[in-house]
Amino acid sequence: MSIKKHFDDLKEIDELSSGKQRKKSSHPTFWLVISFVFILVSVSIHLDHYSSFVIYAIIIGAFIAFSHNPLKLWIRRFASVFPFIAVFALGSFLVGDYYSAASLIAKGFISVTIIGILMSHFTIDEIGSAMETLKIPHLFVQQITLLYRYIFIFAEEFTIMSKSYQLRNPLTKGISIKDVGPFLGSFILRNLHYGDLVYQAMCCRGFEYMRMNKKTKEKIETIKNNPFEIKLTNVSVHYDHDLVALNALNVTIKEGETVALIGSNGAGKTTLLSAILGLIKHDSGEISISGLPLNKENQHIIRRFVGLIFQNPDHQLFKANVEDDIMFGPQSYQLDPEKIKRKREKLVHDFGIEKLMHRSIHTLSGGEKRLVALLGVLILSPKAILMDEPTVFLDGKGRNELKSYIKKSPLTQIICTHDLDFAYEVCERVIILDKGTIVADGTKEEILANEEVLKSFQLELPLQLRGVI
Amino acid sequence: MHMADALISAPIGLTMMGATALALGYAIKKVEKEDNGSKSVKMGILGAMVFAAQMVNFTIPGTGASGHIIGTILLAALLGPFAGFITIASIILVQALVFADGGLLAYGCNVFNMGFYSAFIAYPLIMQPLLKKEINTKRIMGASLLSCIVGVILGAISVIAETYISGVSSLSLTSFILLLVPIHIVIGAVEGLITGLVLGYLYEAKPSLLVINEKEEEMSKKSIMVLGSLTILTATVLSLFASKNPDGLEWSLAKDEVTRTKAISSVAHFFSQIQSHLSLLPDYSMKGIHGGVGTAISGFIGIVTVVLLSLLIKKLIAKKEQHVN
Repeated sequence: MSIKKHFDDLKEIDELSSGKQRKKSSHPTFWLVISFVFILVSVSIHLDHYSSFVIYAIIIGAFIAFSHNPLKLWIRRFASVFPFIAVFALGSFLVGDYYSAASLIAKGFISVTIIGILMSHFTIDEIGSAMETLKIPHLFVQQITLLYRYIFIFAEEFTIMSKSYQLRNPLTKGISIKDVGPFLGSFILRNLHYGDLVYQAMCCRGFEYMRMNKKTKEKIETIKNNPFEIKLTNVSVHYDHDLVALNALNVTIKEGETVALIGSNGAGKTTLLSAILGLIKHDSGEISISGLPLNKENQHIIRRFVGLIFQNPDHQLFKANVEDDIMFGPQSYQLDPEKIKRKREKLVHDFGIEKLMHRSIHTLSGGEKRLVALLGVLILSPKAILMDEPTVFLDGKGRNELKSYIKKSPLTQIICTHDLDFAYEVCERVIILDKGTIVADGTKEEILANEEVLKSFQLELPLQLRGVI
Repeated sequence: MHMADALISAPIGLTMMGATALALGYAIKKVEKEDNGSKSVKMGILGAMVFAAQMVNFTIPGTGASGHIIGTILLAALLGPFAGFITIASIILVQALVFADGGLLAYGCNVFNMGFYSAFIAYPLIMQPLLKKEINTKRIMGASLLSCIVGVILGAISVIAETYISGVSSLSLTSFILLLVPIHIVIGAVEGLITGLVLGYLYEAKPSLLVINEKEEEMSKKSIMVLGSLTILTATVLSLFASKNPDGLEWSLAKDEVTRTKAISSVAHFFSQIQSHLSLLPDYSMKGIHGGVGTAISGFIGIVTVVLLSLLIKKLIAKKEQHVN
């Protein structure tokens, strides 16, 4: 079977368990245990009369009929276990033990049916929470949910790599053994960083969020009640000991400000955004949000109020469909479902993405993905939004929509961008970063209209100020 | 190598589930102790990649044969044996749930067969010693080949034992071995080749990725003792169930001309003595209770036996350590 087919199956199964066709059920723990007991009992019963096979056939048929899963999915499921069972069944058949042969096949089918039904009613996340209820260690459950999420992300990457391999080696079916090392090796290298970014994005939307306690509530109140402010004092970040990413940085951003962060590649823009959320640890200095210092304990609370839009929306979106992805944050933070539902309806209406809600993430365009990523952050009612190159992947229409949104938004916004025209249109304050330090900080007129300042940092005047547009 | 639920009996499934739970619990404790937060993410990422890599069939030039990897040795080399074992266990669970590859009842068997032997026997006893002194791509290839073949064959033997003792097929033990072992030598070699190639590439591109290269994570004697005892224990409990067959596993081993040595027959004799005296589970089911319920109860007793004996061993080790201190 080709890789593509495998992934298509996976997507189909996932859509069945999380998509709109899904028959929602509750009590995953109960059904997980019941399914296990059912398999246990059905495997234990000795079948030695033709009537028992008839009963098994009726049960399997009824289960399949009531599951509402397409027949081809069942065939695919049975096909994956059948060959191994068939070998053993054939052994029994050849020595004349027909009942053993038939019961092997019947039992194989019934256990596959039970698991299939379980998975068409519950998502992997729900099964995960059921496992936690059954006291299965968190590290293991976390692995199951993480792994399942990553599969979809890497599946795309893997398909692209396989396709380009096939284009260059049209005569080879599959991947030749001599290319296995570079193929799988580079796949691993490329995606380790990718996976890390996805994990950061998940943490930004409440993954691993600590449960509420009195102290947490007090801290949340601090951020809610104090005037919002992001303050960095002497903040330094080093990569690999000697490479300086941020160098003794001092900056304060007040409530409601829209700040553009500009500078050449490697100036430290993305590092600064990541450092504010604790995604990259700062080596010295202090970062505080509304007076609450950023540390390991507080970073979850800070992320609750400061959203981040990643440069590549693919790093941010990891659920099977749009609705689930938008709901990832509220579910992680266990926010009131009724309030969130109303908020979601309003946001979806405002952004006009009603039609996208049940679409699979991988079928969206770059601009649509960007919108969904923004909605996933806005639904958490943040106090500030940090955006890393928000205009990348956007066409003209998308760019204009984003522009009008930022202009209208009352939130504190920090926008990291190379698009100086965009910065000029939406931001009041502009900061230039160079080699990890702030080299200029002022109003957009002071900085972006000043050709001399811009030139000294290899930047050019916005096109509209040059009279080009 | 994914076994379906139908291929094993309930007691074997439950016993292996117990054994896997113990091994997993131990591994999780180890990882949690050492982890500073970033390992679990790396485990998830590499797990998903191995999951994806398992879907690809690699062709072997000139033979027309193809195969895919299981990935335990690969994961152990990149994450260490404990984290590698947890990762392969989570891959197998997702496969069981999503693709119906392997079953829920057979889950313990599958994790043990595909993960345990490679991560805790082949990796620390073959791969690590071979690469300890010197490391280069050729040595990586040799060590991967050898450890993968050993890991996969141990897994295959385990599949044979579990299915045979379960008594679900009428195949003789010889046919079982002839059917499965040769295929798995080839599967192991393909696995080793791919693992060697990938690790070789990673060693050249980014050597720090290989745990083995970091000269850390050598399994302590205590870990080897704990896991070794678990293996022996599981084998013992499984052999208790073998009494149903007129030619139980130990009996046929002892009868076999090639393996008939004094040592083996005395071991077999010892086990059959234990069995005749201690076995609570004659013919799979409890006296007076028939059919599935009795079998299931037998299985639970199997698990409890494994758990209790493991706890006893753990206590003994702890006592010994205390004594040493």
